[in-house]
Amino acid sequence: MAAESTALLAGMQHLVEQARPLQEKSLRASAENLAGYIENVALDDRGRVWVMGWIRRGLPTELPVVLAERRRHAGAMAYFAFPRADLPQDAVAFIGVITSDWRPSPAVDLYCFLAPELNLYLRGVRPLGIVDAKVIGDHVAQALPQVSAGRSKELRALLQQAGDWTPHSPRAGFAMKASVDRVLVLPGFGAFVEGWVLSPSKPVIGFSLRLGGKVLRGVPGSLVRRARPDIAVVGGHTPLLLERAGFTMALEGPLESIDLVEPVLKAHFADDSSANVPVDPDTLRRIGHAVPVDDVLLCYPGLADEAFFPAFAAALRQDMVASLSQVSVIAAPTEALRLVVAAVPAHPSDARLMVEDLALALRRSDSPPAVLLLADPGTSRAELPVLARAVAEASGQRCGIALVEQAAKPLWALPHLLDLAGSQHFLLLAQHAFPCRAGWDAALGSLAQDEEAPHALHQSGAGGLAALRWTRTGLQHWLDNHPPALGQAHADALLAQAVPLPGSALSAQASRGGAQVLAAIDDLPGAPTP
Amino acid sequence: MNTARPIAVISHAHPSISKGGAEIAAHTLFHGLRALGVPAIFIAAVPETERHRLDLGAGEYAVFHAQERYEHLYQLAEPAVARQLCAVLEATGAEQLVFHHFLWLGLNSLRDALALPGRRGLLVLHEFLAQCHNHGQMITAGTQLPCSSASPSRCGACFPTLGRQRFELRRRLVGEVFDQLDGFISPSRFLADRFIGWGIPAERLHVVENGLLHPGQPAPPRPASGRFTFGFFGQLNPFKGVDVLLGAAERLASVEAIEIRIHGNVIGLPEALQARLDRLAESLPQLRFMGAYENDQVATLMADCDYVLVPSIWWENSPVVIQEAYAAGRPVICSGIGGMAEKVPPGVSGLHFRRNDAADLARVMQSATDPKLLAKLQAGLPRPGDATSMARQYLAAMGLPLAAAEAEAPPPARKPNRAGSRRSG
Repeated sequence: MAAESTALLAGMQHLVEQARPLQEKSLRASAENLAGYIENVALDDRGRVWVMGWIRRGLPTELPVVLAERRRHAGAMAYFAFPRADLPQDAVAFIGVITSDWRPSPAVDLYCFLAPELNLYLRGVRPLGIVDAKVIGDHVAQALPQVSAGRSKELRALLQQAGDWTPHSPRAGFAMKASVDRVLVLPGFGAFVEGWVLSPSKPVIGFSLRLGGKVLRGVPGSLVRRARPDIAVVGGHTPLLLERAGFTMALEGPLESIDLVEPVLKAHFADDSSANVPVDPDTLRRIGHAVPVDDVLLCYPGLADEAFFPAFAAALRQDMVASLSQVSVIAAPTEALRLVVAAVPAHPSDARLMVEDLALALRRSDSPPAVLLLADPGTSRAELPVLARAVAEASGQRCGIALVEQAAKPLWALPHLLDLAGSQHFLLLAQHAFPCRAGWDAALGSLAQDEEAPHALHQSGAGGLAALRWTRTGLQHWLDNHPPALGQAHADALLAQAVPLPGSALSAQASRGGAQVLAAIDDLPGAPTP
Repeated sequence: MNTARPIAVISHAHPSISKGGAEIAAHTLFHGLRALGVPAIFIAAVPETERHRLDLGAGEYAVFHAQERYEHLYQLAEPAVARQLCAVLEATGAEQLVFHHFLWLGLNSLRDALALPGRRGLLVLHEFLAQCHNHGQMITAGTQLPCSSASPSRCGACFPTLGRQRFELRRRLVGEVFDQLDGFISPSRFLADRFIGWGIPAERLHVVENGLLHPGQPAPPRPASGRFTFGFFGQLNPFKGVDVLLGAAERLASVEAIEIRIHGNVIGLPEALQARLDRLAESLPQLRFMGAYENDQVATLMADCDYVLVPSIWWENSPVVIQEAYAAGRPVICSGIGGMAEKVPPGVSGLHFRRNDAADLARVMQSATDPKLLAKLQAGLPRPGDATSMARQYLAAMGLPLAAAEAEAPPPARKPNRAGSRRSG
């Protein structure tokens, strides 16, 4: 049946070409030419539009069409007809497929003009019912015994083929070897797939990917080819194929965290047929979780100039902000008007030194403030109570402990942390920052005041923010109007408006580099406030 | 300073637990001061796990620490260690503090102790730990080559996973604590010059050679037998050149005139080196592994040798083993670098070989099987100082005239008020 459905698609492609010149003709939807209604539509995993409704009896079952809603689309429709009890004698129910670049939307007026005259037309009901392709499949199964016209079996095969994600599908009917090396996934955006494919008899033009319950479709124009001489042993004598067997493709779709299971890749051929490729779940890597965001640059070095970058950037920002805002409290801090929030360095030696310095500074203070240690998964969780005890001994107050996703980017979580202690004034010590004695004393001295303006201690050299002393109110107002950077310049924007504190600070980390993708996202105009 | 207050000699270890040169030198100073009638106490850092082996003498205290909790990059002990030390100092009233080493005590303990009212301190430099993260040996971490100077950039290159910035922090921390000290003592000119080059003002640094607690009289030359015995004494760790010594032993396997004895306890030998030691001690007839020894045995054991070998691959400072060899009347064959080269003038009181060169050590050992050369070197041996001469020089470095230091008797000892410290006698 694969061959028949392939022939059907080839014929429809021919009909689409016939429809293209008809798009410019004048169209008039007069009442007398109404030939039926499109009641439900569905989009299958291959991206084809399936339609159900009723139509005048006796019309061709494969024909060119022009779809008109906000703009016009050339297409072709193939359907099969069957009786339905609620219809008059001159009408039949139909289920069919439309190939075009039109995608259904419930809130538009849809007209489907039937070629070649374009007088007769089908109209979409309002609102247009958009259903799952499986619903169409159920209706097809029920209608098949009563079919009165049209290529019902071919259409059924086509629908099943689109919804078939069984790996090693035999429908391809020809030899194809493929493997997926890596799938970088990002909820809200989709995925980047890397691998190789060898198809000696017909070229692969793109891919789609099923993950859990979602289907991601290849972004047009994003397919990258490269040579894969390393797979020559499986390719036989296919030197031309080996030169472009490697592939990378961006695939978009409404991916959610829950979908990151059971991946299957579908390779699409020029003749509109397809074949499925099994994907080892171990190849899945969540961007920003398992791999650095900059790993995407290995796929697309010019990522910021790719057409899909804005969508990628928006999804990444949403994903990161949601992650960075989450707080897990291990030990609540003492309730206090003034709170030091000290981001614990990831390196255990640095963590010990930071706490040693902090404790020393607290012991010098006339009235030591409450302290909250802020750590992330890079820090040894087991060490945190030990560090907190050392701080508590110096401050004379219980020391809080909270976990966030990245202690180096605490601004999104900070209001919640301050609320934990009921604090209005805070001193934030940046992760990996080590103020000198004068810097510590100035920062703690500033915290003891009731000033409203932000005060900041700078890292030595070209470094950024080492410590920030401000108020809960001031911070919230700033956050509401200035989204912090996703990249390493996270809080640097505050430096420009903050009053410099005397002293300096060293950093335990090398001068800042990397995180190119996040920097590019931060540079996008009008980065949205989360 | 109120000289009625005892001088606290503070060591990173206690000789009843380990017998490294630094703790022995510290203990010798403590006894030297007391022999002069100067009130003194001895405070040692002791691993919790070794508490049962600890044998404290009169005027001795311990602060206990957990080795696995020590922070080696920034040299930080747990706060409890600093608290114990300060408790002992407050209980005894000790004001003048002489720190031998800061390992296990931590720079934080030095900082807290020196911050106590009226305290003044000296730090005795026994190696390069203040400069070098590679066990203070000034040997490159990867290639094990001698390093001539430390800087954040060089150290960051030596430990690329740590990076330059952490060594800037380390340097800042060491500098802050060193600024609290009154001065430094180095047992060798070599080490002193290295620290002056690193940034310590020369006027704050005094060179005082380590003395021996009981130097005794040098043993007479061994009767000529046609067979020469070369002895190694000390801790068997990779920096002491055990590998070089074994390489020389293999090359000398057919030389019947040479016998090599290895005395010492094994500390941190790599598995492969330990296996090699065991195998060669079994298979080479002229190589004998004698095992650990008590310090009061060293003179006798050395007297049973003709030469003492010091094949360290690091610079060394002033190895106590050289002073012990001189006291025993035995010339030294050592690596020709650093503190060893300074303390052993070649052709006068010993011989040099190229560092980390087993073949050259074998060559020099063979050349040393010359009775005339041995006699010449024995005649050139200096007399090492004793505990009291060492103590006098320390008092001078502290600016304390001996008469003033001896003027008042020590105050009655009070029991430290913190758990974890222990006083005996």
